[in-house]
Amino acid sequence: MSGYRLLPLVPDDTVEIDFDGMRLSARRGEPLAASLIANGLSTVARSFKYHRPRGIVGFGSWEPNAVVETPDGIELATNVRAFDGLNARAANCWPSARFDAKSFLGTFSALMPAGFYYKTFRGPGGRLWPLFEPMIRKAAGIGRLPDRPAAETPKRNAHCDVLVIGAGAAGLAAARAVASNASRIILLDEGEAPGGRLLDRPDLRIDGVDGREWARLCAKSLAANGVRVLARTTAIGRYDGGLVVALERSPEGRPARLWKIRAKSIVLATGAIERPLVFPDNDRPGAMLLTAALAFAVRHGVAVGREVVAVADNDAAYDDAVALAMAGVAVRHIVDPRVVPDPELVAKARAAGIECHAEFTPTGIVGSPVRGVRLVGGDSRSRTLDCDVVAMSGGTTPLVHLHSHSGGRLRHVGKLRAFVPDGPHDGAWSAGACNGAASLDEVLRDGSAAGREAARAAGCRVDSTAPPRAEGGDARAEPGSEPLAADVAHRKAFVDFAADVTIDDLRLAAREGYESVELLKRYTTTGMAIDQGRMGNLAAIEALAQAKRVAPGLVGTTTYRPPFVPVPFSTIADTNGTLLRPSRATTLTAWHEAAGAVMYEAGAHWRRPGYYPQAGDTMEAAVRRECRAVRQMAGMYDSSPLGKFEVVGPDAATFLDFVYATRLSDLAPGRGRYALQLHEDGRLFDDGIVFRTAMDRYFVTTTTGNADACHQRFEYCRQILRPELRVGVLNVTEQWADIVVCGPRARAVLADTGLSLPERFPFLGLAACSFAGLPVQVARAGFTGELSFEIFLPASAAPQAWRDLLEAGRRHAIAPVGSEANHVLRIEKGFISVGHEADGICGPDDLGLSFAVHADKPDFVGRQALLRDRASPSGRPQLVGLMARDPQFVLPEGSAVLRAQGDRTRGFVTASCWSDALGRSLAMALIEDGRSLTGSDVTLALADGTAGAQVVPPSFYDPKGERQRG
Amino acid sequence: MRLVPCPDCGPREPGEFVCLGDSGGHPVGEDGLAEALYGRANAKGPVEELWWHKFGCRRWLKLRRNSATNEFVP
Amino acid sequence: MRGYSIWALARNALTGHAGWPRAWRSPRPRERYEAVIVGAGGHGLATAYYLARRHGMRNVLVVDKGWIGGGNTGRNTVTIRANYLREESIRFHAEGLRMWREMSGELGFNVMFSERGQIDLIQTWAKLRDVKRRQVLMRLAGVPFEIVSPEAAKARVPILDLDGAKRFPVLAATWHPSAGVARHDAVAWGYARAADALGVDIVQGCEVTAVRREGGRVTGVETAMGFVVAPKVALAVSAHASVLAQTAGVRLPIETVPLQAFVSEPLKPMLDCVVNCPGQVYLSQSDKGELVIGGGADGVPSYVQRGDFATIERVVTSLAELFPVLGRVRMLRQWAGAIDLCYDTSPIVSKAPVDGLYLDVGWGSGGFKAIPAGGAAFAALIANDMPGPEVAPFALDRFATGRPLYETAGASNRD
Repeated sequence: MSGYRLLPLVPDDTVEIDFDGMRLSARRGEPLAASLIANGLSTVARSFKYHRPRGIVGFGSWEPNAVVETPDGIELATNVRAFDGLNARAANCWPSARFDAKSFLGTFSALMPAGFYYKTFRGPGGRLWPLFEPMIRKAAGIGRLPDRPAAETPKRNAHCDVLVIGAGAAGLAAARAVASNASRIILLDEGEAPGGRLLDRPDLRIDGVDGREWARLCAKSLAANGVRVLARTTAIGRYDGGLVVALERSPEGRPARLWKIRAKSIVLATGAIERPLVFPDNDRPGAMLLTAALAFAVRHGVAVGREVVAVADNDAAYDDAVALAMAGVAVRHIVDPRVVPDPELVAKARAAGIECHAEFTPTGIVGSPVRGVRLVGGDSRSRTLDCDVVAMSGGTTPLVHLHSHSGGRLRHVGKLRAFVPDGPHDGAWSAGACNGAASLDEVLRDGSAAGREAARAAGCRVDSTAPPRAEGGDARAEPGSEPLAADVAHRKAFVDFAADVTIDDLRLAAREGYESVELLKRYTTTGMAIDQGRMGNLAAIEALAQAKRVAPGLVGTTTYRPPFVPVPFSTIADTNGTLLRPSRATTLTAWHEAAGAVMYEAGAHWRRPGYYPQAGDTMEAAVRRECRAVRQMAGMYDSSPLGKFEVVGPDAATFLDFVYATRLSDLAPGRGRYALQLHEDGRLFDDGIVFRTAMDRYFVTTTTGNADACHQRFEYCRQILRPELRVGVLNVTEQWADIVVCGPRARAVLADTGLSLPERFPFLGLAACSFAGLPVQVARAGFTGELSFEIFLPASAAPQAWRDLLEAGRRHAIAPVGSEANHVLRIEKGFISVGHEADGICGPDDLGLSFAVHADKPDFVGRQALLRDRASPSGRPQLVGLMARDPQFVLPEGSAVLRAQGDRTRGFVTASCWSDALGRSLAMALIEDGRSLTGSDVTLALADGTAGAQVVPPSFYDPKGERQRG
Repeated sequence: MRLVPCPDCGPREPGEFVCLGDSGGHPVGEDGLAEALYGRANAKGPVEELWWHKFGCRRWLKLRRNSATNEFVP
Repeated sequence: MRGYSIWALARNALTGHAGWPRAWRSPRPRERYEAVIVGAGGHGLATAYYLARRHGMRNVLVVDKGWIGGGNTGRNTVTIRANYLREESIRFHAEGLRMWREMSGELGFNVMFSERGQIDLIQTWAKLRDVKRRQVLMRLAGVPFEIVSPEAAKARVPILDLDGAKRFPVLAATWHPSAGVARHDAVAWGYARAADALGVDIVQGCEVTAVRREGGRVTGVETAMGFVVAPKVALAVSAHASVLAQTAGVRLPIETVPLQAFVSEPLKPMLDCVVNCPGQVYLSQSDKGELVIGGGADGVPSYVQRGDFATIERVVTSLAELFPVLGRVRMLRQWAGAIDLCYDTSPIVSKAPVDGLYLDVGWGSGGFKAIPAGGAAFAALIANDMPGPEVAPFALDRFATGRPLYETAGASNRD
């Protein structure tokens, strides 16, 4: 293969690139593969397994060999664009593709048949794999990890009536058939310009004009009519319901935009790619696809070699070979295994100076890179033709991937020896070569018809003009039936170049019993390498069919999976993670941050203060100070993230009696009650205080983390389970801020800010008050066990109120309190925290909350399961307190509880802290039948070692609750 | 997944919804309690499902979907 | 069963590998078996192997509508680990880890078990509390497991990016050195070949359409190749268990949900252990060099073995956040399996309410690792008509008594 330029380089358009350490000249914007060929390089890659020398075989995304590492990542040389300073390196070889240190591996290929690693590398007892594995890993892998992160790829959503994928003859005909003035149409194509394979064939004419010109004009008029035409855009996946994901690239070949297109109808006009022929040494550098040789010549002015022999078993190849000759490449011979090729085509080829040899089959390649091709004739005579390029054409592989991605079925067409879509599927019509159309006229008619069907289904007007008419392009790419060759000794006949799988590998697998096409693929790895089997898939299926002596249609295909071509992860990722999963801030978060609080993100993504360290404070010191303030003077905290709901309507009471296990219908207005929601299966779901604000109106608080889930349940109960109830639910979580002032001096703090509370204001009462001229609701409630007031006020008013309270509280030594101190204060009280104790497993009785369950109510969510659990209470986890034997030792959360050493685990420590108020450590635990162990000792298994503790009731500080009620 | 047909909002992305599948319901007696609480028809084919349009109109929808194809069926 | 070895390879190389015997027969089903196992995935095949090897039951049929290992075995991301939350689960999977180490030797087939360890990245306080419980229970079960610093995690996972304003900073990590990966297909093939050699019939491409019962007893199965009589029928069909159990009148607490995974193009070695970021993304590098990546299950129950692109976007976003250097690496192939999520996220290895019907289901996203231990336990259950102590906690009647066994360690587990 000694390629050269048909069109000389112009200085203005010339760039210098670096490949494998060589400086090369290239035409700006051409594929790197074209540059390599034009510079006379034939060996540009090494194969995956045997490190065999490899050259360029295909074009565009259809290249199995030439993988290069660039600073942008691993790419195909056929897709990388040449620009100044491009630095590329052949992957999977060292020091270069031409001289690869691992090429010796090919020598041992006889020991490396399909699946050889399953049969060896075990050692005695199967334990030696860890010794072999690192060596295998090092040998595998085709490229190194790029060392710099990727730039952002923006995403774009689009909706359209008809999406046409592929702007070749079929796609253009389809788009034309959809009346564009009344429809939203998107037409996308992978190439730089519309036309597809028309671009390679100057001899074709459509509606009286040059096919290339027709494509250009057609796309232009479509665009003028409002069709969005996307070039350099590859559809990478089709998903259920008409979602197509496509990647648009910049002119430099870099990812530019990821499209997510929802289309009512889709036309798949993705075309077909050529199949190589399977014969010994068919992978030698210089053996390539005929259509690729043609594309390099016509599109990029690069001749792939000085002397080309085309080896082809179908009619269309004759036209391609003639076109290649017309482009100025010396095509010497066409070798055709078929007995009687079309005489007209043969005559045309001869007229172009090409010698034609019917009934000759390739049996091998001379040299590496190619110096000739060995043939055997129908009369068994062999001969050799000299050449530096063997251009193979073994029929086509219709690109049915997008049809199959979301479950479309395929059928086998014997004449094509290929699978095509078995009719439209899920709003997608295939058309043209991917649908099995063989001549250009068929392709155009098929495209028009599919466009009309798609338009009709999308409810668009349909163009009634006749489909475009083709002149030329009648020759069909239907391959003759070709016996698959076998490997001959070391001369391997490759089916899958990218995965290094030979015909013998496939036959071995079939012999060993890997007889389904999926097992064949997995055992031999055919179809699993970077080209995902596009090049060799059909040959592999035929090999299996031969081995099983059944028709290929009965063998079937493996499942085609997205993406159609490999895409960088950066194009799929949503790049701005902070916007993607935003954290939530209360109107006081900014104050907490300014005050130097250590912020946590907890429950429902709220950013909340953990503690407020003062200069030189440790966390422990800060938490002690905050706790002391609450227990002795006053504290205040921001409880705004709490879930808050208005439940309103004549049946609000009945509704809440149904949703909650707690009776709420007998609450007097202005009073609240601690209430529980259960899962239908009896587990505790959520807790909170529910206030009645009027006979037909409740103000419901839920836990922070469950606010959304509660909303969902409220609506579920309202709309589905009890639709007859006249009640509405409004989520006001973000509308109301909640500032809690607590501690012995709490009442004085409020008085000093001018907030006047009612004379009689009992525990769990709720009162409408005025605060700095603002109407607010104040509840006597809290989570600390002290005298405590929750002030619910409009969120926007919270910052001023917070500052006012802090200012007024200064005389009372008030301290802002974070969640760490709250955690200590609630453990001292034995209050449960959903997520710690109610970990989605325990029921209300397990947690000692029976007081809040009114099972005598006729019906509520979870009642039946609750009754079931009450009927067999033994063996359930129960909430208890633990006092460590060493009062200075804080039992680690998560420690396991055993009755004695060596026992099975009975439970675990749910929460634990140092309590300044009590001068010792405290803990809560869930223990199987724990309440019956009250007073006895248990053993705790820690992450390292053990500890002892006594089981006590889970309320340590002011167990009678006199402080909060006082 | 296919777009979910919401009678209020039109066809919408599934990400706007919470799908409860064929679970749900509210047992009222002891008989068959375990089946009602834990059992799932989990049928392959048409299933009756509940969907909540969480990021939309917040309506609970009763939809029929073919679990073997993901198509919503009338 | 002729041995596989380097010597056999060398011998066969001389004859162009013409002499390799079939790995398994492809028989037609006989009329009657001692037991029929539905499902020729890892679980079904391991069960058949242990029935034959340990319990002398060789007159056994394994029947599958597809091909060997074609369900979730051949679709999964192969993480093998024991860092569960319940003591019952930890002990079960610790025994599993022991069996994985022996597997290649026992089966005479290299399943490429690679005990490379697992790092879990902890990014929430709730998860940190959770792993503290695991740490203690793992120690009690004798499985090494420690909580380590983010920097220690970075040392094992160099591609991890701890710097920058991360949305969720890594608070801590756990290191589970005996976790690993294996070659999924090889596990199915190794068990299939070994079971076949012991006389088990493996029939592929034959769908079982119904389990037949008379009164309270199983009588056999209807298949695409006719009725097969068997006093014992065992279901090891993961996501399709509900459909088959229903034909015997049994309703299961199972939901079928798509679980997706994808691989990158093959790269030179750059990740030497399994990395899991609970609920978001997990990855390991296969021996071939591909990064094998997964995340949580799709949100909508479905039998369609295709996933939602939104799920892929979500998982890849997490991947790019934690490992920005992977941004230029390309996704090569994505796929989906249909997993069997159990109500309480623990499996069911149990007798069914119909005599002679046995269930092995509900493994969710975690069934692969349970192939050896699950197969052995299921075989014992079938042979003895009684569960061993290791799977007694996984009985179906835990639901009737209101004692579900909640386990929150699987990738796709909810709550």
